[in-house]
Amino acid sequence: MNSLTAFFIGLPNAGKSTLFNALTGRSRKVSNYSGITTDLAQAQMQIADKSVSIIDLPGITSLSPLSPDEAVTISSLFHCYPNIEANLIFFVIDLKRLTPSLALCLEVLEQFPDQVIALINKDDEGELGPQQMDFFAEKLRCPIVCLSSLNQESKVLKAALSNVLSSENFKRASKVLTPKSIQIISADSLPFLSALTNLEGKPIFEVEKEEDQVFNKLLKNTQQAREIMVKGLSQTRRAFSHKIDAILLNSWLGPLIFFAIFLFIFTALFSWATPFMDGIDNLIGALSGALAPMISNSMLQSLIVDGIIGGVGGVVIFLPQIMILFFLLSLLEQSGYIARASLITDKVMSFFGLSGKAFLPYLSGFACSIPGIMAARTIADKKERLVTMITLPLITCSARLPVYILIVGTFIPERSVFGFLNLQGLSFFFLYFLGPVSALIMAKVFRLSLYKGEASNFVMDLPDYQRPRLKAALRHSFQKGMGFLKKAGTIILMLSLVIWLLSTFPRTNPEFTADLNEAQAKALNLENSALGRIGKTIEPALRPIGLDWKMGVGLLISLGARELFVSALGTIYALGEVGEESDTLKERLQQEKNELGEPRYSIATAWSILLFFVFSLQCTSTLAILKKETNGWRVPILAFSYLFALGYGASFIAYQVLHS
Amino acid sequence: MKTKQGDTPLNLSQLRVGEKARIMTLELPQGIKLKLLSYGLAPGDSIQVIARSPLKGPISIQTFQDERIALRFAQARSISVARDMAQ
Repeated sequence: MNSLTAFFIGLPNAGKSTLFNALTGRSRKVSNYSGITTDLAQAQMQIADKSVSIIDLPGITSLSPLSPDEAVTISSLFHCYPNIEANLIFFVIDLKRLTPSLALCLEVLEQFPDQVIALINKDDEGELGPQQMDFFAEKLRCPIVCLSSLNQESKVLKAALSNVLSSENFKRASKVLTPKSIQIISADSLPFLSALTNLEGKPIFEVEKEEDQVFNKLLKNTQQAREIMVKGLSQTRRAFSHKIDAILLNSWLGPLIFFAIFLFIFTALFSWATPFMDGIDNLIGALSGALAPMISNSMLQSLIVDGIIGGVGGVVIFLPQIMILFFLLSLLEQSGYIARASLITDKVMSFFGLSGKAFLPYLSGFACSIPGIMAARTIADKKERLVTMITLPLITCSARLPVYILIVGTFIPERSVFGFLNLQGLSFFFLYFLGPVSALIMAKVFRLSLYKGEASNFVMDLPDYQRPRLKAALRHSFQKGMGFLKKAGTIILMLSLVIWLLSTFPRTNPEFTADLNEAQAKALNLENSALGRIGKTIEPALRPIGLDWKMGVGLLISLGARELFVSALGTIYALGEVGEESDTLKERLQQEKNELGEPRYSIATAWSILLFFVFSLQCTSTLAILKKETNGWRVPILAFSYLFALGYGASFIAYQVLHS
Repeated sequence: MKTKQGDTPLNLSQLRVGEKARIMTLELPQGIKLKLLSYGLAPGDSIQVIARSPLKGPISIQTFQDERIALRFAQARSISVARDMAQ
């Protein structure tokens, strides 16, 4: 046999995913915080003449799962999932947290004695000598390799693995992983396991019969690990990390610095992105200006300029902001600060019935709800996890930015307030923070009603600080940017075409438009198109919130994905417009007139639209991930309904108040 | 600092920043006890409080093996400790 499948097992934040990325050339998200990996990933690689398939799993702290992400790993290990099995465990030991790593390693070795190879990771300074390695290998009774996934090239890492996978050790991978005995688990693990048997129906888990059986076992392993540690290695030094903590965890300075950091990130997000966004905007304008005269067929010209450039261009403009956001978040996550930020926010979160563990999911939600909802897997308490997930769509995700920027920039006057604040900026800030604030309020509402439960707990390890790697942050940001462009080039492009088709066909009989001028003819064409008819049908529902059928169609389409609102409006208004006097959507919206010749949209309609977007869950991907994470339609349906009601209600109030 | 030994039982939430103590018993749910232990906190260990958050927020401690752990005030209250005589 010349191929094998290996699991990566270890503590959270032991560097499993970093190692996995370095070895396989993949780019799983990594950072300096426990619980970044919440699902499994598999990749093939070639080590010497052997084909090795590696499965990267979420970190665990014992073989008795205490949160859904740990259950993923333990269920894989004990063969509870179809199609997931391995014949070798690469146990990743975190040199910076040696005792807990060794204690867990001993527990794993007990169940799978002949099928483990230990990889000591994070030997970034080359502390371990051959003597110590031999000592560890002897104590653990398994082959051992020493690595630094951070500093070593993938070639060096592969060579090290190739050495340890010598024929003798390779025999360890000769059969499928089989536990030696039934795993005793804590009763607290039961909610996370779907069954106590494996796929073949063989019993594999058993709840402890006497109190503290699992605890005492781990205690025994910990004591054994400490003995190994004391003889094997002198205490690691962390003076530097401790000095930083003295400042960042200071009772009063800590929260201040926390605010300063996040204020900086959100300010940078807008000020740094502006020049790039202007550049892209000009480029798109120039492109359609140059292309239009080259296409003689008016239908084709409309398709390309109005449909494709109008639709996709409106979305692509947000690329710089998305890349900057992911870049800064990556730097912050790598540094190890997120664990401290969770600690600092725990008190506030607990007031709303959540814990500091919800901080990272919420923070990820500023980029996109989907990784945020996945990150909620690290929350042990079931109700708390559900509340985190169901309120997460309220966090101001990056897909809302295009809409906010368009509507605020178009309808909110550029006036200064109190002499130094800009009204547009202020509105933006308000919208941005209305999201997370209402998420917390709704969390409290749910915790007092539907998901009532005891105050939960919060226990967290604080990793050492680490200098963030610029390269990793750039790569992460680039990847996210590419993903965004891919989405713009595929789904949004396709939907833009569909929107163009629906708003162009069916054509109105030319006889009806013969007597009209060009503008009237275009308007009639649009109104009689399929999209126009849909819009007219739903118009009665839109009147209370002050919108006409064009905006209404935009809202309807945005239920699929929020960015589509901008691309839909881009296409609709480009089609209804005559000549080239206004080449931006912004100008077109400002010039839109109603039947009486007055401006169609006012500040009241603007806030009506904006508030709808603050609350409403317009994202099919979020609904899909909610269904997947909760195994059913209940939660996604509940989330969509309460958020839609909130959105419509807020729009109604805003329009009625501002309109009068 | 004057402390009365053996008077009222002392718990972790009563320690000030910088104070050292020995963990006696953990009156906590099984799951939390397991988590704390796997982060390197066992009964009998000596620890030091390194930070406290305002308004009875989480307390950060450091184990004798340099592991840093944060836990809620309410949980710290359920951990009884004895001040280190060496102090």
